[in-house]
Amino acid sequence: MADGLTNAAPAVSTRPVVSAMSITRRYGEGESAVDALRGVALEVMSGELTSVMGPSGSGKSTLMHILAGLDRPTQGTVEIAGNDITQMNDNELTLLRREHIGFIFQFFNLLPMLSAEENILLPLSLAGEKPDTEWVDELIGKVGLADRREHRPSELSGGQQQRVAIARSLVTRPTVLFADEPTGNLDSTTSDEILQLLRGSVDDYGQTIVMVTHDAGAAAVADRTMFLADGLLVKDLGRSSSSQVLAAMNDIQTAAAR
Amino acid sequence: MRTATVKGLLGRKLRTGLTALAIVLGVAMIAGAFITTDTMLKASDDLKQASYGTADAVVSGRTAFKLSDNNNGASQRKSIPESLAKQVQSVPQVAFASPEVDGEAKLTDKNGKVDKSSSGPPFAVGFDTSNPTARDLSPFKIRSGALPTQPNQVAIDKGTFDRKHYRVGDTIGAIANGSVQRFTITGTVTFGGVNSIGSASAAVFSLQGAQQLLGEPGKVDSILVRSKPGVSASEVRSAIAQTLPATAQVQSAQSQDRFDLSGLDSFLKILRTALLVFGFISLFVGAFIIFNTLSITVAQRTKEFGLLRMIGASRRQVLGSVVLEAIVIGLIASIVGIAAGFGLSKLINALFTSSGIDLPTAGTVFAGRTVIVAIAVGVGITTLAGLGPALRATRIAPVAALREGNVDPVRKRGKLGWAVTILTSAIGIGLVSYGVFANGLDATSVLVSMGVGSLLLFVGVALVAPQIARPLASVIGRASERFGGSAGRLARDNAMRNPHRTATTAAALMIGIALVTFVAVLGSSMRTAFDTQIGNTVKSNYVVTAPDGFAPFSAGTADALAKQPGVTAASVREDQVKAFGDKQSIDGIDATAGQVLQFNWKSGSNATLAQLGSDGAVITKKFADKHDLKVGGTLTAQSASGDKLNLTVRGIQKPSEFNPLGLADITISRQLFDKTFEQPKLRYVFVNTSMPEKQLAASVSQFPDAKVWTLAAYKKDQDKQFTSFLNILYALLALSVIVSLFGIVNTLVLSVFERTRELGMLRAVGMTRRQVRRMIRHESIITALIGAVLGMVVGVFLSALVTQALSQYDVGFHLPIGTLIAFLIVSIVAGVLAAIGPARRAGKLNVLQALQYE
Repeated sequence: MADGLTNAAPAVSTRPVVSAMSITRRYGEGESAVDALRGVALEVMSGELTSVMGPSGSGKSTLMHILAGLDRPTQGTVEIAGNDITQMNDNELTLLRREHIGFIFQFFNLLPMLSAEENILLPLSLAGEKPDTEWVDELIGKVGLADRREHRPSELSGGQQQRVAIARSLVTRPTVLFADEPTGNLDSTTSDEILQLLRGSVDDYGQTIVMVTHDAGAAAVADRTMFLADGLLVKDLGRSSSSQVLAAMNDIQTAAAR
Repeated sequence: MRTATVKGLLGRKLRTGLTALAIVLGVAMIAGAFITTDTMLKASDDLKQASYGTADAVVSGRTAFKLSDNNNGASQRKSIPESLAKQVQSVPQVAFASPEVDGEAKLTDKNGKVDKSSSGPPFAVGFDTSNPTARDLSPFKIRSGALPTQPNQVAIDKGTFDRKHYRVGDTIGAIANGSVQRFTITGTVTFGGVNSIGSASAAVFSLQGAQQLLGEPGKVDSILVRSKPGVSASEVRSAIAQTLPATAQVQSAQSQDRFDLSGLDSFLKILRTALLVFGFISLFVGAFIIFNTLSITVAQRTKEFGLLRMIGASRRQVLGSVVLEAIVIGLIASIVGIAAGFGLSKLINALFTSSGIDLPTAGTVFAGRTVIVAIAVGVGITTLAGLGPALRATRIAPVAALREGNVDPVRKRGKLGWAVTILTSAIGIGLVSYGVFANGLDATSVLVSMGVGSLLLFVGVALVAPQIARPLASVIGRASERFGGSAGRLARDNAMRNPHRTATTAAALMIGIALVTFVAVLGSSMRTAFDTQIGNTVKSNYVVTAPDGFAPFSAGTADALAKQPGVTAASVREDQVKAFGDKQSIDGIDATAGQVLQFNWKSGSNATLAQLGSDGAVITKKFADKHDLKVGGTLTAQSASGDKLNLTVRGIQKPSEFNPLGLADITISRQLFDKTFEQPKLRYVFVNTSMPEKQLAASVSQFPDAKVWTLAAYKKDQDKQFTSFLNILYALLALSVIVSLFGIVNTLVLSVFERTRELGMLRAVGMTRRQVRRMIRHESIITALIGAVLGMVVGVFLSALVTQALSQYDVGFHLPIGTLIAFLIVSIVAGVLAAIGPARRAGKLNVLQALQYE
């Protein structure tokens, strides 16, 4: 395990954009309290695709929610782009999300009454900002929706809808993009397309991405994969193949079974 | 299945409560209508019962007919000599005979102003207050302080006492026929068991005091008789009857009502009908809301119903479950509504009081019928409204349980649907037109066909509404987009995304707005016509009336004015006669009337008014046609005191249709009038002079019951009375608007609930709480404005139809633009108010939980 940590030195070492210090998260009180996270510290480096893996109940979703400011840790602090987000009020968090954070969800979450392009522009419109037409055109081209701009979500396939969601999350050029099981609701071919798109945004635009997944294939496109078990960070791999990721998962599960 | 339904309702308390509220108000209105009018009728009954207290017989002057209290003219009882009391006392069967003076006298306050706050008859009564049996016989009972014993003392009713903040020992004035006399207050009185005698006031004097005030020393109006023990009321009456002169009569206390309250009773019955109508309007609006809410919840529970079908529930059971839900909601709402009805009846009373219409009150009457009707109507309407959604629920296939999410089933209108829509609207418009334009219908048929027609029209428009809601929302939403930014834009899209839902929600508000618009447009058109007609008739620059504009006032006013230099004054006095077997108003006018009034002559001219002499009469065309009278023809009119007038028709005039001055069908000369009626009182004095208003008012200052108006001020005051009537209608219609607000609240709550995950996403990608609230608020405003626009179109259409029909009465169509703009603003405010709760709920959603919501 110590090996894994030392191996984690990224190829292009830059500054951390998200850092978490000794995060714990406890749900409920007293006897029935559940500790979802029991002290997790990590740094997400700029321009990297970091994936978070772990068996269900390991705390990976909770970790992502806390890193993204959607949930508060019981203890510990989280900094995004140098701001301590654990002390922010709702309004400050909203403004932080506008400026620094993008989201991709498992269930796409598009507005049914808006066209693909309108959905993509939604974060800018909420922030009251004028879209940069060139960037928007490039983005729409990149996600392959140039001929689908005026289509409503109900007229698009699942993969196309997720591509709209990706473009929506990239349109504000967020400091970090959080993807929660982005391929969880898609078939394998479409999943690959979506993963390549995410990978591409890291390679082409230097986008920082944190992706929660339980799909070893998804983790394989990441620069770094962190493994969570029982609320603790148990392994941190650099770029790995899907078989390496699977092996690591197996190790963790057998360790847990013992 | 039944348990599942009830448990389901309990699990959705908020929604169930909000849905029930839609019906609560309507039921409350119906219960309130019954409670209010039952209570008032009981009070009126009590008044009658108490009017001569425990007297076994009442001796009074013989009159030719009984005067109605809704006559604005003077009371003309025929008085009897006080000495008759001694004669009655000497009848062996009589234990006690109490002479009593009855009349009307207005009270003036410390500043010498007539109390305007009581618009009803100002009763004045005097009896031997020092005698315990006389006190017992009188229905006026002392409440605080003491009864007056000296001629310069008075006890007044508690209402007036409290309203004017009097204290025992204060000096007030009273005016009957002469000028003001001063009296010291000794205490307060109540009448029988009645808390308030409505807008009437009462003053009790000593016998002597009343005789002086009413100008009949040595005379009384009635003698209240108590018979000796063991002598029945009828025995004592027949014993007294044998001793009385021909000019007097003896009656039982019941048949000799002090007040003729038939006018009040029929007013109360009209009031009841009116309140019930407003209650049904609210229920009708409520039905839309029940329909809409249940439709949405059925759609949201598609999965649940699919599952129920999958595990073996039959269609009938699904139907039963939704209908049962409606019945339970209806029942809860009805019970709460009846309780609220109690409160509402107090509110209705307060509303009337504040509008200057004070009605008698007694202990609250709560009849069994109130409960039965309220529950039957509340449950019935809710169940009917629930049938549509219930039927839709039965069409949900079991496979729905397996599908992703709950989808509003797409409703496509077939040919049949369109046929129903068009037919409903057409029949509605047809019925309204029939009611408005058909000749020879009585008032009830006109109102019924207009009412039913309007209801059908509302349903028709509501059926078309989903088709026009989208474009309307799109247009109205432009403003939201402009003022609400991104949130406003999304609000517009949201309002457009389920046009059925938006339309039905808006349709509920449409009904209320259509009705207020109808009232406003019609009211404004009538008022304009009314003003014009006053202008056509009145050619003087001043009008003198009682301070309230319609009560009779001292005849001396006219003489005082006529004496002023450079003044042309003509008075109109009014009383009642019997002619052709009917009770009839009669006016007496000065010879100068032709110089200040312009009649619309069919035969004769203004000069005719100066030539009426001692037997001439001018009659209206309507009266002439009815009794086949022509100029030169004769008629006989009998006064209440029995005098017969043989009149010759000298002129026929046609007053404008609204008869804004309320002039009588028969007009005679002042000389003949004053000769016939003992104590003439005035309705109007019309004055033409260059004298300034202040100086003219000063010349009649000794008559505080008269008020000088410039013609413009008089018209304005008439408008004010009209306005306060309109305000009552607005207040009653506001109820249905409030009901429709609950509809908007309901729809918003349900759609916020439905869009939980979507709201989570919006918050995650950068929507602030404020923006969420703003979005919901704009959705609400857009819905409200759709309702307002639809309502105004329907309201203007209906009022255009009615004014068209009224054009024969010189009523033109007049749009009160200012009022209509005010209604639009009210709708926006209503939308904002309705959104408060749902917007807060939506804003408070936890982003994480919302995102994970399924």
